[in-house]
Amino acid sequence: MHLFFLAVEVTIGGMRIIASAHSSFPRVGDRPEEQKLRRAFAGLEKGKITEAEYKSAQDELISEILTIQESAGIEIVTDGLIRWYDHASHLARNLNGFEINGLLRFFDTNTYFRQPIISDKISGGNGAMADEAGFLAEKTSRTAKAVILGPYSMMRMSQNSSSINREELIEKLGTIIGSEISRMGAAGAAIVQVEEPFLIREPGGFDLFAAGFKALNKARGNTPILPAFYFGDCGKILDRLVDLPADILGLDFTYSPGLLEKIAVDGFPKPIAFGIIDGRNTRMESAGDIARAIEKAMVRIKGDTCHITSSCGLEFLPRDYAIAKLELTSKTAKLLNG
Amino acid sequence: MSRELLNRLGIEIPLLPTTSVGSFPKPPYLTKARSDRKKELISSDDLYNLEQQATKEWLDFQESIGMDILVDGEMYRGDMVAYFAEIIPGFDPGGLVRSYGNRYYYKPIIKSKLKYPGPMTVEWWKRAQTLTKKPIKGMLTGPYTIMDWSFNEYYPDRAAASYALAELIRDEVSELIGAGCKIIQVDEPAVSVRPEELEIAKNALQIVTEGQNAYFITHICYGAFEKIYPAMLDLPVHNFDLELSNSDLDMLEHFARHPFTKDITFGVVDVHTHKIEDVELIKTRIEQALKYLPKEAVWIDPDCGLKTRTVEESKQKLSNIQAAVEAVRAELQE
Ligand SMILES: [Zn+2]
Repeated sequence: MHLFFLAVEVTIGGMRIIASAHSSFPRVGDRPEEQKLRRAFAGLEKGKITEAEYKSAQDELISEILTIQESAGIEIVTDGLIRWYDHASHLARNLNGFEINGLLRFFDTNTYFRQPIISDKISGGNGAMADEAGFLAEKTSRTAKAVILGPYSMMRMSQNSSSINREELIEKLGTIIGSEISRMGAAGAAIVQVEEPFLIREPGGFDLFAAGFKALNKARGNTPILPAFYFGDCGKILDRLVDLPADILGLDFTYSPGLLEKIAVDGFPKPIAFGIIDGRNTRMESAGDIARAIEKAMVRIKGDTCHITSSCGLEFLPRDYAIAKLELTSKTAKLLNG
Repeated sequence: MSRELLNRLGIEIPLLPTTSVGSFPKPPYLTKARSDRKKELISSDDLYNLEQQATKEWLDFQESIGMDILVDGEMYRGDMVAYFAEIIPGFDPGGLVRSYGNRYYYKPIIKSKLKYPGPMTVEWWKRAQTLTKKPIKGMLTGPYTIMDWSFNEYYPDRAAASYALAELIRDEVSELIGAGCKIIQVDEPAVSVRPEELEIAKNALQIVTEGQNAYFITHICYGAFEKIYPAMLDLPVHNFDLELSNSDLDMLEHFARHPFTKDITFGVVDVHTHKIEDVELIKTRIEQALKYLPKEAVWIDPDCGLKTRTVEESKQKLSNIQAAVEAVRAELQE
């Protein structure tokens, strides 16, 4: 399809931009009263508290994080992913047929994930992730966004010890994750963000990614999805993302200075979640600068709502900075909406 | 092979010398003292005395089991980046961020031009070295890793911040050498995650080591080694201390395809599991390694710092390593 002709159909000035949380949020802050979950986790490891008590500590923290997001003016909220050990093992733990292995670095974040091991018996989940989405939806009056790791990144983060080849495996993971998304939607998630951080750095994997995504799309039912790409230059794969069967695309703008300009010139036929507030650095951007930069791109996008958010989850920042970044997000959205 | 260099420096090592990556767990009394100090329940002198006591206990332990190249165990350090960031002017302490599971660390922020504050580790090294005849490694965190694990609000880019840090780590290396230190480890665990920045790490390490008369080791762990191998062999050090057991020794295949051209300190036990690998398993791992690496070039240690294990677990892991090495040495001499 030709981007230029699509872009002409956009009603300039009709676009609304929504302040959105990306995904993760710091579980602790620097003050002792902000470290309840850390103490609960230690208590659980020492056998001093039960699983149920630990879960209620998580529930309590999610409520606090929702209050933080809401007070910062965020309209699309998440549970901060505070129940996740990490992206890959959280998914593996809640599906069948996976084992969980040693630690590996998660990109250059100085955080780690436990590597899942894929067996021949992998299959759908135990419903825990849908319950988590349901809890989030119940606790907020804002738009509840649930988050899940996408099939391509799941495959890349796992060790394949099964007899399934890559092509079959990606479809299988796509179907399994798509069904989970459908359950999360049924449980109350208004939208599910499908995270694919591995794709941008490996554009050669696009066909495999697309096959997995196709299977996911078939299985997700009518739950709206937001595939999110980060930790790299999204400009490299932008043209190929256009045809993705998704309701809105989440892009990291911090690795690609030319990307906004490209969209401003070429237009884009789908709403975008602008991951433009740097989630990796404490340096505070100016809301005015960001609003001016986005504005030109925004008017060339087809659709009536876009999101503005951080480039990635905010867990990589100390909590006070994460809160300031949320406030910056909603301040920028206000400037753009006029 | 750098045995000649070590000889020239006056250091004699046996075949398969045993060592540690750097950190050991703090005994419970020291953990308590550190938290008491934060609440100002004890004086800094009280804390210092306990840090000394714990250092001596770890040195005694390493000697008692017959280890060859010792470490002070870093009883006086918390996080490997925060320790330096707290001393170097230009850093702000930042705030807590999660590493994995329930582990958090203070991630510092570069706020202004960084300056060398004078010796940061030398007194501790000197004091520890008076307690033993075995060589003690000088332990520093590398410039690339300090940069990568900090926020940067001052320097224009990642390279500039790395090189500024390299200049002051170089000063610290000179101070260590001046104090008599011969083996210096500059940890760069972060280099394995951004292959495209290997050049920055290399240039930074070049600044640190160029013209400095010591045997240099760098420790790298938990990354995609296959993406930086064999290019990483160009880093200007004599010995690579690598985490290899956590990933089932799968790097050995790469060593088969492209020979390892420097000395290697081969990680033979996982540091993230409570499970104690038995002597037989460690022996098998060493024997596997020797199929791909010349025996004169191999040193043996755990995968990474042991600070996340308990004192007891760490001692058992180290004892089993020592026993396995001695068994392999005996077989090699038959
Ligand atoms: Zn390590």
